[in-house]
Amino acid sequence: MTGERSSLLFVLVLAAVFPFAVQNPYILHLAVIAGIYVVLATSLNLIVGYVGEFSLGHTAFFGIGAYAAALLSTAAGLPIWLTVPLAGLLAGLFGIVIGAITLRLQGPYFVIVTLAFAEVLRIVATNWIGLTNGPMGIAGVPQPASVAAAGIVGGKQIYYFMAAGMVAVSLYLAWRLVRSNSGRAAVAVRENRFVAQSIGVDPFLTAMHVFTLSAVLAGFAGGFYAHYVSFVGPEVFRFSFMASMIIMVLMGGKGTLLGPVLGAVIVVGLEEYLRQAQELRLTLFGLIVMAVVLFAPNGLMGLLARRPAWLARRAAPALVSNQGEPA
Amino acid sequence: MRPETTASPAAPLLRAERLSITFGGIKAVTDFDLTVGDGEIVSLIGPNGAGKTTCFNMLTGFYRPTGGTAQFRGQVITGLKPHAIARRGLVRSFQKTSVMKNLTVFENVVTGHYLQTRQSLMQTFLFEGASKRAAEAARQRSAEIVQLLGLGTRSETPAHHLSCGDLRLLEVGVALAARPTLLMLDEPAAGLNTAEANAFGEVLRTIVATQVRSLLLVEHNMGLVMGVSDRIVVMNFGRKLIEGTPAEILGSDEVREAYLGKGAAGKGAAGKGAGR
Repeated sequence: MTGERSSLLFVLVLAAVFPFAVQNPYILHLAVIAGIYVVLATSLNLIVGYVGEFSLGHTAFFGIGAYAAALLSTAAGLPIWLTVPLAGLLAGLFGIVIGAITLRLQGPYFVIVTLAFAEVLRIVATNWIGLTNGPMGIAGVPQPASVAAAGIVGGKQIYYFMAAGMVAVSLYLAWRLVRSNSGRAAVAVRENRFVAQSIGVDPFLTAMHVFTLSAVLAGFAGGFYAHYVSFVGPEVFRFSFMASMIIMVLMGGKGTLLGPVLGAVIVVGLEEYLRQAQELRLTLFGLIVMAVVLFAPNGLMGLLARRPAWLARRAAPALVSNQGEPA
Repeated sequence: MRPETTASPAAPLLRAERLSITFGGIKAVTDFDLTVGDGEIVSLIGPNGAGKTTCFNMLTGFYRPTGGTAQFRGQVITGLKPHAIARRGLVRSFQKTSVMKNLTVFENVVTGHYLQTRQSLMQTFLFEGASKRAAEAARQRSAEIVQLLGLGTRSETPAHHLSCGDLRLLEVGVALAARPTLLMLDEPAAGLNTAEANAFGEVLRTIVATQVRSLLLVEHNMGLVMGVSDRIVVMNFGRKLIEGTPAEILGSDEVREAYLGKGAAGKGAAGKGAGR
């Protein structure tokens, strides 16, 4: 689908010029937060939209990434350009272990066990005081020297570009996986597990590939988050991150790459905008989400897809030119 | 176009010996023997509940038999997982229409090419040259399959918008995409009217001539079965009743009895007495 590719590229170009147009540190801060959530939503969407299972424990990988980056930079003194990728890799390793256990389950069983993993990690983070400093958390996760030197707006701009880079890498990885044979196999399993098996797809292995990449992306987001807010405590495993991710994926449209990106940007903006409504904020938010689920079950992308003109699918290759086909 | 096979002409492509399965205390299938030769079209028929689909599920790894073995191209396949059996060239369709209903017809068939376009993780994320060529070949072949099945005009239609007949064809298309040596179709003509079933029979003949070595069919549409089969195996109450050519099966008392009851068999036997 070329529509999705060009839309994603358009979003990236827009993202690249954004900090030059906007000099307001508050807006830039929101943009960085949105970037983190874009990666998280993309990551969750790989599981919800492509494996077709619903994970409630995705904060496990976000939290592991956050703690990994915090510890690697405070205890081992590694710079941010090493800690964030390493945070992703470590989260990916956990993804392999957790996936090997949870992906043998389906439906509600998968949901419950993933939730349990996140909860176990939260308890470990709270109680393993020697490693994580317990409920006090790890404070003073160092900022890159360039940020400290660049002043308020300059520092936000640097963080913004880092976030944009992380978003670009994450979307590229997700794009490559989804457009690959493994991605098609995952969709086949999501759509019909029996048919998938009968055409030679190993459902477990396919889900493992997607799940592991998903964990890596959540780890990136966690690692970057740790540096950006410079504090990591057990609340990185808390459910509100999970709730935000779910809302973004559902609102944007699961099973599309662009959907969660839109969802993340809109939800972060909406959360800020509704701050004026104070206590009513979460209620209003709940109502909006209910409306989306009821009236646009495939999210914004589902609404857009009803306009086939600008999201037309690439036509099948013509049969006439049959050269290069080994039969 | 016809895939080669390593099996010698004498050895059958598929040989099942004494396949049995029990669910709790129910003996669903008992001591079932079946062979499908190279180039042969075999139909498995029998009244509802005779165990035909259960046999399919045992042969393709969806059920694990409690007794007996199945060999495909000389190798034991009992105990293998369904995807591992599919990778050896034994591909099936399902009785309850099963396609990927949110994908278009074309996407369904492209997805069916999974095995031809498998790639390493390195290729997925770094080098895409080889996998791109494989994917392009898969798209070309998908277009051919869609044309072959007469679904050309509905290539871009989401599968859940298709009519029952087109869905049945699409199922065959997805299975063909996996390049089976032996294609197993479970009631492919169920829900089709006579005209559609006849057209379907034509498609099956074309497929066996050009796409697959052999075909194993479970079907209730007798016109279709008698028209295409080289050999017919009749099941009843989980056991093989009889097997033979379509003519032999049509004349058989036992088959009449299984389908219509004892009285009918007696009347039918008068003046015929063929059977086996």
